[in-house]
Amino acid sequence: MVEEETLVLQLKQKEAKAFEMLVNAYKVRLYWHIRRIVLDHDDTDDVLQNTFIKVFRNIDGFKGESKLYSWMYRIATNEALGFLKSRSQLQNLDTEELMATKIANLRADVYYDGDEIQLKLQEAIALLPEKQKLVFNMKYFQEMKYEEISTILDTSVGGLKASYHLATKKIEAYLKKN
Amino acid sequence: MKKENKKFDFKMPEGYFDSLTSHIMDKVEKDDVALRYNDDFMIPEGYMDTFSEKVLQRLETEEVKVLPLRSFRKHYYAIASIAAVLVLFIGLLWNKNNAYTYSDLANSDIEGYFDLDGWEFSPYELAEILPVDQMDLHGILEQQLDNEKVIDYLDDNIKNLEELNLSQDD
Repeated sequence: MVEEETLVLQLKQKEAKAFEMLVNAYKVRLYWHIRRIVLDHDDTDDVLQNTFIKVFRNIDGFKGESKLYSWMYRIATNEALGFLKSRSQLQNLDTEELMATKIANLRADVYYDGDEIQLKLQEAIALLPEKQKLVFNMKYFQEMKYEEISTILDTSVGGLKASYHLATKKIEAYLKKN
Repeated sequence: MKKENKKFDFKMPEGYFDSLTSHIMDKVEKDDVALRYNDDFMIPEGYMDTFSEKVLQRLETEEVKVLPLRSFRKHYYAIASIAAVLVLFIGLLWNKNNAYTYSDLANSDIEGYFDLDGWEFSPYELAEILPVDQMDLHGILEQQLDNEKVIDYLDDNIKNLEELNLSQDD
């Protein structure tokens, strides 16, 4: 793997090979990060493509103040959340209603293989406030360290721990109730 | 002193290379499974193999059309100025016979005026001037604090949030 600084330089020179290397290096991690937010494969595909397009077009704005992958994760997160907002506006629903629809569709989704308990867990996660949902997904499913999450979400480690704690309590309560 | 020309005599476990290929193939298959599955979610087969090509192609074919704003700018400013003058003129004509009184002013306008002019009224002085009994305070009194907002506030204003022992898990 080429050193990050060299890669960034090549990306800023719009070298196709460098961009291809970047896509191949991060497509899987970013895919799962986005999928946990938007839930279905087709939407994830759209958002993932848009993320890389945005990375390519805005690479000149990357100042190296954070790691490249933190910057890309941030773009992916914003793209996914923006996608949900615009989809809910298009369908004249609030975000909660949209997520409820998406969860209902999961049951019949060819690319979803979860049992009833796993589906209930997805329901509980979908109902969380935005930040708690992100922190929970990144910590629990992607097993990221708080320090990594902190650079992506621009929140202190203490704040993230608090959010994660609240998220697990809410999920626990939801699963017990339902 | 002569350096001894030592030959190193490494020995391989018997049949090592026979099983090496199958070990590698097992690992490749496991990685492929990890690629396609993440707990309860799945990816269509072959999706990741063709993804980078798809994105590169999209980059090549998409062209961002930039409108030549420069030439429109002069006309835009001219039209905007004329429209502004017309609106002002019509507005003045419309309100010619209407004299404003204090009752025409919204409470928010009055508050804004005091803010802009830097009048340093205390809240009590303002309360004497503004009709508090007509203000809708229900929204403020009934508002419940959102946990996320509380955490964000604490995060911004407390040096070491961990001292509050809000979380138990690491």
